[in-house]
This record gives sequence, structure tokens and C-alpha cells, in this order.
Amino acid sequence: MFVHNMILSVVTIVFSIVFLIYANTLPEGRPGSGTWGPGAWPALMLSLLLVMGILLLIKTVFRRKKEQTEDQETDHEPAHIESTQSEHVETEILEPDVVYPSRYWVIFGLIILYTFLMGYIGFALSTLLFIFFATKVMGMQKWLSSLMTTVISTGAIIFIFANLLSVPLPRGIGLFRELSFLIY
Amino acid sequence: MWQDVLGGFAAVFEPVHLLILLSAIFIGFLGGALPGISGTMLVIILLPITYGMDTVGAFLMLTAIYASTVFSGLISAIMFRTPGTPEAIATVFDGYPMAQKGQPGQALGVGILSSATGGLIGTIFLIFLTPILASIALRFSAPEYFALAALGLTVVASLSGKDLIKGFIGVFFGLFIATIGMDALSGTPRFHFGNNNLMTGVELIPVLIGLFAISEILRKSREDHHLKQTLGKVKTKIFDSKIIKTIVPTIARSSLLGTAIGILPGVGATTAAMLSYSEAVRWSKRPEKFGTGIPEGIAAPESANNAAAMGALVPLFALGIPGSATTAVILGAFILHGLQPGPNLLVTERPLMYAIFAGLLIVNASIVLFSKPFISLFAKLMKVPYTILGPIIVVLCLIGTYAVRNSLFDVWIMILFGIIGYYFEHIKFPLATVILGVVLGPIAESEFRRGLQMVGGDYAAFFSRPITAVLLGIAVLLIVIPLLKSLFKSRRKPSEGVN
Repeated sequence: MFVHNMILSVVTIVFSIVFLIYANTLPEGRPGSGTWGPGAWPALMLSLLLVMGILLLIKTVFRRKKEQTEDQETDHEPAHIESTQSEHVETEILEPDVVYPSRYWVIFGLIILYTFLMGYIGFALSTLLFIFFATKVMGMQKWLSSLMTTVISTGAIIFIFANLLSVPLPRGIGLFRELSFLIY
Repeated sequence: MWQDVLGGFAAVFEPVHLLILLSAIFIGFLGGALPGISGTMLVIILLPITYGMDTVGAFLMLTAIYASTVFSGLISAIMFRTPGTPEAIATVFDGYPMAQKGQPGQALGVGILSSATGGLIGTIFLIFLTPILASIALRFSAPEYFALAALGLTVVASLSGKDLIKGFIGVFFGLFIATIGMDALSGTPRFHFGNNNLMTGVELIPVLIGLFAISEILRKSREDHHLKQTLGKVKTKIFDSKIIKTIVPTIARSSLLGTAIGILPGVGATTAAMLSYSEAVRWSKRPEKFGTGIPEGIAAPESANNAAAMGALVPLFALGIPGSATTAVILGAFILHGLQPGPNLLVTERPLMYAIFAGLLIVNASIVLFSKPFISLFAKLMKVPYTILGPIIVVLCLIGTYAVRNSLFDVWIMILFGIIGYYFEHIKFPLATVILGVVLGPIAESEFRRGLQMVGGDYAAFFSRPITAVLLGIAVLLIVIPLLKSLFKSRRKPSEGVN
């Protein structure tokens, strides 16, 4: 938690300072009218954000110091206490285990690639590719099931959104654009 | 008013609308029951479907999904110890032990009955209170609206849990995001870095979808999705007269409490369920039994969360201020459909609003009707694994974002907020606070500046207007009290020892 809070507070502080500088370049309100210019409100929000970032930094460092001194005083008591106060225990909520801690990077990369491709080859083709690889990454083992899922779900999505509900979908460019008009 | 309600029913019973409503109830039941798909996410995913519908159909769908997911989260909470939606977290405490004691059917029955009653009571309050509140709010001008927005922002205290500083970081970050783009009052472009797409600002929908849906899929992708849980044969028993006798007082109390909590801006159904559970323990003659699987322990959170979900619609419909993340999405949906949320909505869109009210009454009543067949069907549907569901949800998120204004740029914004949301979730950062800032930011800023212009730059004038003064006073109290509380707690901790 310490590292996370440190990163968060530093990012917050840097973020608010950078944008505060930028906010100050915005024109001011009409002098004497008592009104606020376009930069004043964001500047106020950013200043408050800055204050919160600093507060978090102080709190995090302060707590770390306190914990370190406390740790030295009391060594390993908690385990003992837990067993004695089992009178009013609430049922623990079952949290699924994290089995593949870094798989989200792959999915995230796929989403980025998907969006990037969509601008060029259009919705239909990019969605086919995305669903196929995403189901594979998510752990679908059989090639045939992945292929079936891909075709059926892409077809259903295009039919429901583009044909039935006439929701606009990206068409891509050039030849892909021309082809997309055949489908939706 | 009764004529309006009847008119609402007439609109709902048009075949197309009825079909939409029934499918929305089914989708809502299903989404709520599946862990990993919350009501917020489902409303977000289905938002693009409503683009092509008329407003009555669109909002019947969104509100029905919103109402039905709050209920169905209890199924997985009771059967698998895994709440289907965050609102059902407190239901696990007694629901799961009761099912383990050999009474899963009764446990589900108590949940169903409490949900339906809570939801109906909440909806009745919604129908009565919305017009009253809206008619008061019709007389509001800029300073009052600013005060309302400020009051809405104080919800940060309850949304941020133990970590108030992080909550404030979230809110101010959201408030800043809301200032990106053309300044509505002076026409000056702000923080756009020469990018034309940013001139019109950051849209709410991409931020919402990124923070709540994409981040959740990224999180879920780390789990193993081979099916382990299956729902055996369960006989749902809704009307068990012996049990009903014991839970009537709890249901009545929790429904009222839930409605009241829901109406407070920003405190959603999840908080209501938790609070109601602890209140039920306090009022009970046998508090020591809570947590061991007693009906009251299910009735309290389940009647409160459904009531609160309806209560949270009061500020949304009457004032245009969302009470929770999901209502913020519905607020966005109003804007997407070209409607201006606020007190005028009940005047200009009267038939629509009463159709929504009628629809909500039907949804909550249908919990009793449809839940039994649904639960037996659910046992079969559970076999669709997340390996398929996850990628499809991503595609739906993309469509929903893109369709807002045909912009791939918005999709990139969604992806950016997806990874931000993932990390925020990872470090236990209260995500909903960012949404609070983004939603209320534009109202707060423009009404504040307009109000200031109105009173000639005199800050004190804000406090000489009685309504503004009261609202701002409450807002200050709501922020100061939790601050003091957390301060006292951290002071007291060392002397308390281990507790």
C-alpha cells in the first residue's frame, strides 16, 4: 500500500502543478465585474487536487513511520486474538483467485490493436480478429469453439446493432469501406 | 396524478414497450445474477441498443435493467457466497449460511419477497416525491443549483469509504476532467492541446465505460474461467408463512430506511444495504444470531437495496442530480436522447416520466412472478463462460462509446480510462468519486459562475438566499462531520489497543 500511495500522491501533485501552470495562461474574467474567467474554476479544482496530493503524501510517510515503530513494539500478536473473537463473524465473501496476474496486459494490448485496426479495416473484420484472439487468450482451448464463437457473435452483433438498430459502426477506409456497405 | 400513472401503464402495455420491458427484466436478472456484471456495467453495455428506440422504450429498458439487477445479485450471493452485484454484498452474511443449513429455497424466497416489497415501497415514494421536489426546484435559479451540485458532491464522503483523501483526489480529478473543452460561458477552449476532438470536451460515456466496464474485464481476465460452480436443483419457496411473520417488521423498517438513504444524493443501494443490515442487528431481539443464517439478515439488506435504488431516482428525475454511478449513466442517457434532465423534465416529458414510473412498478412486482422460473433457467445459463462473455462485452463497450458521436477518439478515451480504472481498482481507490466529479462538474461550475454574475460578484449573497444557505450549510456539515470522525478515530486508535 505504501508504494501505491506514494505513486498516487506524486502523480497527483505533478499532474495538478502541470495543469495549474497551463490554467494560468487562460484569459481572466472581466476586471471589476466580479465574474470568474474560464481559467479560475479549473485552477481552483487543481489547487484543491494539489492540496489533497500533498496531504496524501504526508499521511503516507507519517503512517509508514508509525507502523515501523509499532512493528518493533508488538511482534506477532494478531493471529492469537483472531481466534478468540469468533463470536460474531460475518461470512466471508468468496473472491475468485487471481491465476494469471499479468494476462490483463495481453487483453489490454488486444483492445488497443483492435481499436487501431478498426479505423482502417472497419468494424466487421477487426471484431472477428479481436473476438477470436481474445477468447483464446481468456483460455478457450478448442480452435473450433473459438472459431464458432467468433463467427456467431460477430454476426449477431452486426445484425442487432447495424441492421436492426441502425447504430453507426466504423467502416474503415478504401476497399474495406466499400465492402462494409455490403454488410451494413 | 393517478391519471398520469394510468396513462403510464397504458404506454407500457403497448406491445413494443411491453416486449422491451420484459426482455429488459430478463437481461437484468441474468446480468445481476452473474458475478462480474454489475447493474452499472449492464446499463452501460445496453445503452447503445437504446439509441435506435423511442424515448419511452429506451428509458423503460434502462430503468428496468437498473431495478432488476439490484434484485438478482442475491441469487449468487446466497448460493455461491459470491454477490452477483455489489448491492448484494450484505446479503451474503446471512444468505449463504442459511442456504448451507439446508434452506436455500427459503433463503432465496426471503430475498425475493424482501426485494419486491422494498422495490415497490421505494417506487411509491418515487412517484409521490418526485413531483413535489421538482415543483420546488422549478423555482430555483443559478445559486440554488450550485448549492444542489455542491450537496451532491459531498457524497464523496460516503463513496470513499475509509480513505477520505483519496476520495477527494477522485472528485477533484473528475471535476477537472469536466472542465476540458470549450468553456460554456466564455467560449474559450480549455486544455485541448490543439486537439479538435478535445474541443467539445471529454464525454461522460467513454469515461464511465472505461472506468467501470473495461477495467472490470481487465481485472476478470486474470482469473481462471473453467466452470466450478453449478447450481443444483433448488426449490424456491417464496411464501412461507412462518418466515414471513418474522421478517415483516424488518422489511418495513429497512424499506423506509433504504428509500431515505437512496434519496440522499450519491449514497447508493450498496451503502443502504450495509447500513440497513447493521441497523437490523441493532433493533433485533436476537442480534447474536445475525451472521448464522437467519431470515432477517437477508430481509434487511435486500429490502433496503431495492428501495434505495428507487429512492436514488428521486434526485435524478426531480433535480437532474444522480445519486449513484448507475443513475449517472441514466442521466447521460437522457442527454444522449436529447432531453435535459432536471425539474422541467416532469413538465415537458410528463408521459415519458409516468411510463417510467409504471414500468418500475411492474418490474418490482414481476420479481415475485418471474424469479422462480428464472432461477431454474439460470442453472442452465450459467454454463456460458466468461471466456466468451468477456470479449463480447469489450465489443459492446466499443460500440456504445463509438456510437455516441461516431468518434474513434472517444474509444481511445475509453481505453485510457479503462487502464486508469484498473489501477485505481488495484490500489483500492474509490472509482465512483471520479464519476461524481465528472457528472456534477459542469453543473457546479456553470451555475456557480452564472450565480456569481447574477449577484454581481458578491460571495456573501450566496448565503443570504435561504434555500442556498441551507443547502450549502448541509453540504458543509456532511463534509466536516466525517472529516472530524476520521480524525478522532485515528487519534483514538493507539489508546484503544487491538480491536
